[in-house]
Amino acid sequence: MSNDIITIPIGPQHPFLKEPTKFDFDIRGEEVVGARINLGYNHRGMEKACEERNYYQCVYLLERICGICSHSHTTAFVQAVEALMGLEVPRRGLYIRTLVCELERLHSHLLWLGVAAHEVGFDTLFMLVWRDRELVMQLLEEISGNRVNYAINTIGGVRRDITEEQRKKTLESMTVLKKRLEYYAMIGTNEPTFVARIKGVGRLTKERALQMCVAGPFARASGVDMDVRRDDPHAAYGEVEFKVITSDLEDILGRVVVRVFEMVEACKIIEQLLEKLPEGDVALKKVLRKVPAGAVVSRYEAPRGEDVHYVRGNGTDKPERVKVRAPTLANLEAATESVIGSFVADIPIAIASIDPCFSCTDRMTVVLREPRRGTRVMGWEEIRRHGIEWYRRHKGIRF
Amino acid sequence: MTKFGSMVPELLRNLNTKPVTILYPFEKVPTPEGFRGTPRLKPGECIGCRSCVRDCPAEAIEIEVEKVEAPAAAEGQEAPKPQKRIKVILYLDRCVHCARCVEVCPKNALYMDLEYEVANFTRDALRLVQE
Amino acid sequence: MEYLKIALYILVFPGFLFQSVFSTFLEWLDRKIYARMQNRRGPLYTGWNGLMQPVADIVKLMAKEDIVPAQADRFIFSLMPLVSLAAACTAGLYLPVWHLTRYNSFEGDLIVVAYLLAIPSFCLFLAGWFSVSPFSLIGATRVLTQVFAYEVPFFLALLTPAVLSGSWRIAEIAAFPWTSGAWWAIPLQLLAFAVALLSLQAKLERVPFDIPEAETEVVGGPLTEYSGKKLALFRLQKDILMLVGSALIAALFLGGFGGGLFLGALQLVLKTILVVALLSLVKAACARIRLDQIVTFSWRYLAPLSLIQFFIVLLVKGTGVI
Repeated sequence: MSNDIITIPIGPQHPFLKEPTKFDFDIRGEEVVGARINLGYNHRGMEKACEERNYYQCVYLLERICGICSHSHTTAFVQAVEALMGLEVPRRGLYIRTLVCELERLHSHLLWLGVAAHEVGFDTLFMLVWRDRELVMQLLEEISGNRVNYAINTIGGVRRDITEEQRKKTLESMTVLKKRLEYYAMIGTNEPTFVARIKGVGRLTKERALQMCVAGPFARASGVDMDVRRDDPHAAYGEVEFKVITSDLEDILGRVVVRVFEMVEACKIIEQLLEKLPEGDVALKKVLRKVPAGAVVSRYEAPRGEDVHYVRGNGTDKPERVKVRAPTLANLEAATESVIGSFVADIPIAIASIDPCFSCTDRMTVVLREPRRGTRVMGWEEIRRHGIEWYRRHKGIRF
Repeated sequence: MTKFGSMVPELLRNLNTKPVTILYPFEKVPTPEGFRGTPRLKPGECIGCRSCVRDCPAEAIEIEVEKVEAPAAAEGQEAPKPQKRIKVILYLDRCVHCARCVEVCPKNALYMDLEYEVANFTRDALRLVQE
Repeated sequence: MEYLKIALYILVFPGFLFQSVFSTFLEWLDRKIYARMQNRRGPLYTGWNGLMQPVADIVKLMAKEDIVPAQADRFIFSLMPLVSLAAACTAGLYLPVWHLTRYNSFEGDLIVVAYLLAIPSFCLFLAGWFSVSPFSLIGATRVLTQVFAYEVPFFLALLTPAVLSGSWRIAEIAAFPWTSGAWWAIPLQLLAFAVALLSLQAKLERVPFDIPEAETEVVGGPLTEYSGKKLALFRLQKDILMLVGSALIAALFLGGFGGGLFLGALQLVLKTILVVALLSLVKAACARIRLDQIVTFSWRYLAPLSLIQFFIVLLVKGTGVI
């Protein structure tokens, strides 16, 4: 019995996964001895779809790569296009863009804290954290018009201005949130059952983190001092002061601590932005629709880590190639490795501690041309025709 | 340093506070003013330039323009210009509520209302046709 | 007349009907208190303020399709819900509420009740083991390991009031603080009360001890493959086990249900509600701890605490005060 290794498949459907992925864990008794990961269940062909749409349509399409970090993708893309066209965004627009960035970081980290508590069975913390997340969601709804997929970015600035009333309400909410975050920091480090589950679990040493190129709070919790907001300031980050939180605990407790204190820093950044908000326009008035030829790599610090967008234009109003590298792709291998050697019960919380967003991750497909197995490569028009024809023939649905 | 039972004071305090649950659909959270609900057309404003059709990420707008034959000229007066009848079809089930059409229309003929409960049983009910 | 009384006892009060109704009420109360502590409302629309929600859940499950997996042992798979439900209900018949005959109240019935309360855990293990699915196998082994963790502190905690009152009959132990005039026996056994409460939480497999059925790790644990009527019976068994366990603790540590039929029933209801409220507080305040941590916690804290309480009681008896 003790030498028996059984393989349990976790996924694509499992209560702890918020999005479909397949893991295969080899376990002996209650100990995990091997892990493999299988991605690709969320591939939607976004990068290909971008090639058929003009830049403005691409902004809204890329927003829907992920619901939680939607603003990150639009900001990275819009920054890339603005760099390609050589546009200079007015300062007020940059400030509002950064404001929504930090609000998104708040809502994403609060979501993560609730979900991590749920994975260890601490449903009370889950409910209380999500109750406080409603504050941020309502703020975002007032400022941008929607609770998720804010659509506030446009090429050349932002689409909406922020009124005085919204500014005051945001500042009040920040005060309330900071008090609640102090309480969660106390609970996260003091509640004995919670700490017992997360302390010493999912260890990733600093050397290994650097070797595996992990990004975001996952890396910062292992002591790697890396943050795109400070190293490569974009938007209005060069004009506000904030601390980059690192921790040398190297386990899930460290990741909780890093994220909670990052939330406190986000509140402080928002307060600074709102106090120093400059006057002026929020967007450039006349923006050409055709983008000159060239290629740009744009980096952005999403709540989960470093988000990289590569945009190549060719002089028309449709991009030639858009490539998105989401931070979760960099973190997943390290996460599955950190689980080896610990118990089966630690699998959900260790994987959830990197804040996985599999919808962001599945961008790439590798096509193996094997004519004998019948694989074919189809162009966009052909695949669309094939799909419409298939549904008409087999299901009687006409598009 | 772990404290045994550190959540208990908050839990006991919560027993006394009013719950934060909103009893939807009997109570609703009021939507703020700038909320991006469903797109609607102000009748008579559209000039048929098709900027919205070009920029909609979800291909949710279709515009059909038909020329209406002008009536015959009256005595001694100039022939009236041939009229255009513009039919705007909004596919509310395809719309992603991004408000790009509102932003790009040169005549401000489109606006977003505050309605978000547009679920329906048939696709045809979500196909808005306006002249 | 005697047979009518026995039939009423077994089927109505405190038999199957009373247990089903009262246990679903207790589940509702547990869910409401748990929700209120988290600043939300709990069940609200089925019946007045959601009272019928547990009943609605069980009725809905009864109406669903019942699937037996192809590799599972059909006989054991179908038998386990019935055996565990029967064990839980039978344990409830020994509660000292009214009409104590020599069949349901005798010297040593505390041991019988403790034994009957241990059967559902083993039924859960067998149910998981014979449903041959990776998740249910893991869940089944976890159930068994957890039994080794909490049974000993539970028995030790139940032993303490028996030693204090010098009897093995639940009815005598319950009546002891009143018959001997030593009302301070109740606060004296607070430690054993706490240990029994936590061990009951582990027996019922609720947070923080619900690792066998951890939803986020092993989907459903031993009950992964169950559906339809069998799952409904397991749910009812869980509720009745909570009722019987809480009523047993209330009888031993909170002074029993004396005073005839109506006063006894009232005391049973109120004291069980108090115990269930405490169980809900424990459920809301903790996260789920791992299996090795459960075993460490029980053997490092629960068992020694119950031993300390045992020695305190022995000292008190030794000085001859009671």
